[in-house]
Amino acid sequence: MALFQAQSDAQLALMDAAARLQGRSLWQDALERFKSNKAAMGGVIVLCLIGFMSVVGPMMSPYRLEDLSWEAISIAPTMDNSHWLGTDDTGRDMWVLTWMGARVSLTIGIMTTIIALLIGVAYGATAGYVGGRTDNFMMRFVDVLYALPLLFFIIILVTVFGRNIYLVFVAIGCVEWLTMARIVRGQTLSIKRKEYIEAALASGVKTGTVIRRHVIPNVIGPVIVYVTLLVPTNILVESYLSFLGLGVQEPLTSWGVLISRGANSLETAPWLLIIPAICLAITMFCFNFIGDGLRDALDPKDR
Amino acid sequence: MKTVLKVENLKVHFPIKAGGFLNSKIIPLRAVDGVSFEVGAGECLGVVGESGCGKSTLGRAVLQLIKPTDGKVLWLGENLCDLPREQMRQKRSNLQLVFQDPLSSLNPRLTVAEIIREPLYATDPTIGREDADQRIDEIMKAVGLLPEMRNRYPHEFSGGQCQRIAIARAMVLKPKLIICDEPVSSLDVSIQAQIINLLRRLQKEYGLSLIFISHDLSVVRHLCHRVMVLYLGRMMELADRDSLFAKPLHPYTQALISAVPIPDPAKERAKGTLILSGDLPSPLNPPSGCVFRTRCLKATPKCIKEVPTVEVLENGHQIACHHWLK
Amino acid sequence: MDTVLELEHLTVRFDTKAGNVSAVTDLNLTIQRGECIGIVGESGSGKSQTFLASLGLLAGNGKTMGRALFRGQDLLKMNRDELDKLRGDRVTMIFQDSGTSLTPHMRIGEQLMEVLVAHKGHAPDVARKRVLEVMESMRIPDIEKRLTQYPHEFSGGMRQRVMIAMALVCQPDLLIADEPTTALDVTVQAQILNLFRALKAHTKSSIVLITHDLGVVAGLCDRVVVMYGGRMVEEAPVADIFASPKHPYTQGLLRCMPRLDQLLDTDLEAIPGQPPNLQKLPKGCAFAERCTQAIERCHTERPILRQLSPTRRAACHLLDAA
Repeated sequence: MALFQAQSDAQLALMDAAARLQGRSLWQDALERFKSNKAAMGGVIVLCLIGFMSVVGPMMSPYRLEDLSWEAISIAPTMDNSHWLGTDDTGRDMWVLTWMGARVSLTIGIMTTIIALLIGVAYGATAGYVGGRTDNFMMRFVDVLYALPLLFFIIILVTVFGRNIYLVFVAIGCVEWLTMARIVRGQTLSIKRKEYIEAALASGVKTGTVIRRHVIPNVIGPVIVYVTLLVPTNILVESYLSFLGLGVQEPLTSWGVLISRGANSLETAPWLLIIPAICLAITMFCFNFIGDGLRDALDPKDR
Repeated sequence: MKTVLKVENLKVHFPIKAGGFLNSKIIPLRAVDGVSFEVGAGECLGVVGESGCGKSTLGRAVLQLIKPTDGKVLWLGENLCDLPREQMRQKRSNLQLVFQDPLSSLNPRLTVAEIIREPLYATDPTIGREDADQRIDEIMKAVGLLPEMRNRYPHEFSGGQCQRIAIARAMVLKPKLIICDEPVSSLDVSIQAQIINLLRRLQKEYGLSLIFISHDLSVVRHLCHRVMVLYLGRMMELADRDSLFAKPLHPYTQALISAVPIPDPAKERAKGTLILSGDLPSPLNPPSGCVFRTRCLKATPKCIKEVPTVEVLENGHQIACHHWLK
Repeated sequence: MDTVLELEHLTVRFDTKAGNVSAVTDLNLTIQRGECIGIVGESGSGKSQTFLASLGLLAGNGKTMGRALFRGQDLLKMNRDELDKLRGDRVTMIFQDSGTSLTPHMRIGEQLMEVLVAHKGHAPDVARKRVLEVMESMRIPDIEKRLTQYPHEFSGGMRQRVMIAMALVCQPDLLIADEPTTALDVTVQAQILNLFRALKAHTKSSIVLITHDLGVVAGLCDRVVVMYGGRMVEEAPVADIFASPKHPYTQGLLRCMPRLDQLLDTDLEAIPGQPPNLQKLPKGCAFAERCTQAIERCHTERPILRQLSPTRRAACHLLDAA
């Protein structure tokens, strides 16, 4: 009877399996859901466009970043003489400045997020998986760092090491990994209690393999979502650091620097503020749409 | 029958923080408190009891997934509790585990083949790909899954099929003992029977020893050779299936058996159910003496003062009760 | 006899991204006053959805068609206010997971009294008296003290008792219990079933017991409805369904269970295959592909529910042939 049953089961499954032998992984399912989300896909397209322009944009203009021109100070956007987005108060071309700024802002946003990701995932996963006293100690350390104000920390770094762009990377990355570590730890704790972890341990799988094969792939979903939301946050942090004069240094520029300088000549040359501000806002929206889209795609139950 | 597993006076106590912020103290939660039993080769031992009686903890402690506080777990004469981690890891191919919830015991990101392959690689990293694939196909057929389904993911299967995958993962190493922790409780009735039949068949074919943990006495009676009854981490009664169900000696076993509804209106309405009063006491603060005395119909002052010792009768029937003769 | 609930052509559908799911299809059922009726089926058979739909408690993407007449009034046509007035008063429901149905920050006594004050407009002291009365009938010890406690201080069995008490304070015409003992241990289940038995003897409420456990049904119900794939496949008085089941699914269900009262030393007669996929139910009988007696016709034509005798109905082609 049992054998017969196993067989008839198998036959039934065969009818089913004939249609689809290759399974669909959760990643494939998520990708499908993500693709059907219009806002998120729009975000991806616009962001790709901005990224592309940040590379190609400056080359399209006849002007270079360092080209100062006393004849063309604070020209409003015009189609004549190729100053498509006008010039600033030192006569530099805004088109070039905006795309160069995009380059720096996006790089900072992405690099700092990668730093935060690497430290945060390693730290959080270790604390969560090891647990007990180690976990307690590691997370209290995070709490202490949380209490340290970001600005204070950066001012100290700047006064000690002087201003440079790598310092900005390090400073922002060093602060933003804290939240990442907390998220990863929380996820790891809940994954650790899943029975498939116990099953793997019971069949003699080594701890390292368990973390690599079972913990990290299942933690990664919420982490990806947080990453897409962390990039715009970091761009924004860089912006206000630059606004306060602690960020990147001339002649290098970023959207934050442009906005800060544009704010000074708001009445006489409003385009100096408006153009980078719009770019920044659009980028923020894109990342947030993508983040929301990813969250819906990766965790369909939460909707 | 050769004894493969011998558990002696096994204790698992979890430290629990109790009390306020200033006067907090650690008190032990006695999940398993001095349980001894043996499992023979090819034997199926049923472990029954209500939620909170420590039956799942017991299973995990035997496999050293939870470190026992005290006692011995002798696997073929070797005490597993004393083994260093790495040596224990190598022993694991002999002892496997099947869980209650089939879906959550399978990693959703891995295909069926990857799930079943994992124990193979864990015990023998040098195993060839073809070798592994052949063994996966074999075991999938044995548990009633089509080898063609190897590249699909757990969420594409029904509960019963997922449990088959979990059994395949446990069986692929050809273990000598499998501990099944409520393997059919989360399945529909019609699917339960399929899995029970499968376990029965595998046990006979491969000469497996099974520890079958369940709260369902009907299933235990159908599948097991001997049955152990746990209450609040202690063993109440341990006996052959037939003598336990025909003549339960412990008042708790009697109540447990009489509480099971029988799918026959005439019998069900005619039988007098022994209704136990109250609920399970907290394992943090177990009653003194016999742990069952607060709900026992036969309890006397002696039960409050003295912990009953386990008596072994002639036919091997073990019982821990002061008044079983009455 | 007077009819409490009458379901006519009740159909429940869910719109999901993957397509329409028919949870319940064309269900006709009458429940008389004082009757205890058991609804048996596996997960996905539509046994719970039938009653959730009747009471307007479906999830957002669910659609209900047909009629659900409660004492002659169509529940499906009622607006929210009218339903709210009815639910918890004339019709009450108990769920499997009783812990989550109680508000954690209110004392048990307050929660029980609130029901009476809201539905019956009782003064607090009158309500309190009634609550004490019901709690006493639930055999809850230390009632006075218990009423001042919070839900987390109660064990699972105790909370289920409070839920039953809450369902009974207003003396409803219809009590719907959805797997009331599934989450409980056997000894606690026995206590609760005992309560239901007493309840049946002492009140005139009709009880609907939704369960997958045929043992529970055997001890408690007068009439049994078996559902499969969203349809009723058999209906009969309780003694008949166990003595002479007509539908192959009911027969299989009874045979595949290990039983405490009889010992088999062979394999169980399991029903082969998997439960049906509600998104693509077959053209013929939903059970046909798992049925060992299926004939050609079962796969092509859906059997209708036939009246076999004044008290029995079943939907199977094999019964036509006989």
